[in-house]
Amino acid sequence: VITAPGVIIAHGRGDAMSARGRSAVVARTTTAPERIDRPETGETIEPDRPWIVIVWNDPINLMSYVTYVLQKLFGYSRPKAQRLMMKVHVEGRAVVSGGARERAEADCARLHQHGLWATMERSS
Amino acid sequence: VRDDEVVVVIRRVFTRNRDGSVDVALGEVEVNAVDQTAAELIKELSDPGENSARWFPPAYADDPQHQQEFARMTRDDLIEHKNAAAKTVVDSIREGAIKKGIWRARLTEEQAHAWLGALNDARLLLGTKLNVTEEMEHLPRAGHDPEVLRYNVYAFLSALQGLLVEELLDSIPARGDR
Repeated sequence: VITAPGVIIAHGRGDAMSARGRSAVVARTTTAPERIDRPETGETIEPDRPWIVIVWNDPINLMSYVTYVLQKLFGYSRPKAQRLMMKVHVEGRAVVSGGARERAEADCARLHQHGLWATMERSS
Repeated sequence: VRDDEVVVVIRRVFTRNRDGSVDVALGEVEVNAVDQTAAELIKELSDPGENSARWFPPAYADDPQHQQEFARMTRDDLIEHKNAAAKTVVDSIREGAIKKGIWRARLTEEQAHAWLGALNDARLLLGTKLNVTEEMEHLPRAGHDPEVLRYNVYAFLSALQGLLVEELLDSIPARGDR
């Protein structure tokens, strides 16, 4: 993502890089359910691992626009949307949402509608 | 007011009103560039080629079978969404009027969001053609060959989108994390 030419991104840079922000993002990515043992049958069931939706860095989308899209689609606050945008920019990718397969597919489709590079995968 | 201060007054391009509508003021040359860009979008959308690959990223990067199904389910909607936005830009340009070399129009909130989407779609298309990188300085360049002209349109659209997104960012209410 790039900064819009002639436009200064004045707010949130410090907040975007805060340790608190990072840990919040990490927490969202590590929600794989544990295996459940059902005592009545002795059978071990592995529930569907949830899906995560990832936005990837690209050289065209504006930083401010990526923040706008994350706010608009997911209702995230400005600081949270900026944190995720900066993670995309600095680390190359960020997990922006997740859930059941249908939810993740719908989120990918909406992100694609808005021109963001989004993929989905099983959370590990 | 000194003379030199009068000279450097910069026209405000987008102004968001309290009711969510957005006033736009562009020079004749600028609005023609936007109009032409929207027409090119509509043309590309009628038969998307290599340069518009960026409009259709794979949701399943490592799963061709599911990706094929995902593309089948979403591609037409995606094209229709982009087409509607580009057409909104063309229509809203016709709704405005040029006076003393400045084109002015009032966009509804919905039209303003369509402009933002169409500007982004156009930049994804042009940026792919130009093979842009994050390190590039997005400033106009001197020269007249087609590549330079295309690049200058790209730089202009980037600045325009940047201005519009700043106006629209504040209009989105935070609904809280889901």
